[in-house]
Amino acid sequence: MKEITVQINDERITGLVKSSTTLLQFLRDKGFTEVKKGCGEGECGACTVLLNGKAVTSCLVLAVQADGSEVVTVKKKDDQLLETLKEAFVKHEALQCGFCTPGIIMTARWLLSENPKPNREEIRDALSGNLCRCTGYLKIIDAIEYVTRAER
Amino acid sequence: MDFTYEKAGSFTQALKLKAEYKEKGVFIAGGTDLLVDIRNNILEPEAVIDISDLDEINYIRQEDNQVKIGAMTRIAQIEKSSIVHSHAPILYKASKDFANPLINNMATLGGNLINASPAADMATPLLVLGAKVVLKSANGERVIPLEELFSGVRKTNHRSDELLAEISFNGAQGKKCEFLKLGQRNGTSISIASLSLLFDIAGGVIGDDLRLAVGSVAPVPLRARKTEGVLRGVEPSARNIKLAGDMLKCEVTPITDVRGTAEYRMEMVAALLLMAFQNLGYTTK
Repeated sequence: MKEITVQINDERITGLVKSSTTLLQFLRDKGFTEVKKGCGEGECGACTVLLNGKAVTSCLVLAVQADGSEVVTVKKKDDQLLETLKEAFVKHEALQCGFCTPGIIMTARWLLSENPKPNREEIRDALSGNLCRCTGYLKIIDAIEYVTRAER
Repeated sequence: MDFTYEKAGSFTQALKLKAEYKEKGVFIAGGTDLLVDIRNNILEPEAVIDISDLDEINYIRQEDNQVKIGAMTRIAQIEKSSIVHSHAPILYKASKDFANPLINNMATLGGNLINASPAADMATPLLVLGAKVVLKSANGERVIPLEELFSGVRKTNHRSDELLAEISFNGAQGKKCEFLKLGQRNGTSISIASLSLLFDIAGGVIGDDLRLAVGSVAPVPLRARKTEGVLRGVEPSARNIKLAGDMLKCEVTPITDVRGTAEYRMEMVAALLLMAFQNLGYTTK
């Protein structure tokens, strides 16, 4: 077991982990259950978080590797862009069951930090690692595109 | 079963740790293949040696016309590199089609090559670029052509005490190139067949330096030398391209698996060759 400390949203979280524990498991064990476990092998994107500013699937990161890092989940407060995205998802009804939503919003948050004005094709490309089995993606793309307009 | 986690603070320390654990220690770079293998009990290492923070093997440099990429360089960095854009557009295309943005923020060039999947998307563009790889150990280093690194399905010719440090190739500015990949979805798809094509054309004739490499249709990412022979020094006419496609079907040795049948792959890799020429503006009908 190894002790790690990770800055998660606005908290510094310390915990003991096994070497094989994934960042995803650590986050969920510490109560950050908004990070969803889907496939567990990087196919579905449900567990997407920002790790030191970059969107990654937290199932493919070891918790020990994240020691000293900064993780942002969909529940981070005081992030205006994140709030705007969440409102846009509600306004556009860009979710049904909602399981993929926390991951998709984090991918979108990362996309907009890298490219504040993506076109629809760029939004589609960015979301290519996030599966949604309900919406058919159109409303998700609408919601993200709306944010790029609202930010203008 | 749990493993010991060792974080390498330097390249030298990474080699030392590997010498200590030998075959029982595995390097973790991006982790996107390794952690899936560990999860599925394909690998049961005693130690995982983390090299992901080694900046000394994370770079994209240009020296004269040579491009050098450190093994720890992430696919996302390759996709954004102006050096790769200008000197190796084919590698840029492959990085754009690689997995998905979430994976590409982690996955590394070295990892994709050392994992030695027949479907490795970075392998075929680097094969046609004539890339060389630098393997380093405590006893020194050796440079071998990338082609000689692959020895079979997920098998390589590097020794257990060696660590892949760098991939280098000569710039291919102004050459015609295409990377194509057939998969089941745009993101996160392991290719059913893939192809990289690179050539010059002068006086309406394809140059003698044409190179063609194909993925997912043989035990290793393959330089299709017989097909190259059909295309070198001839006009890129519909007839010649079709002949090359027919040769390519004979040259590959695909298997049937969950992603596609051998017959389908054979047809598709030939179709990708035709499509590559079409995308470059040649008529294939």
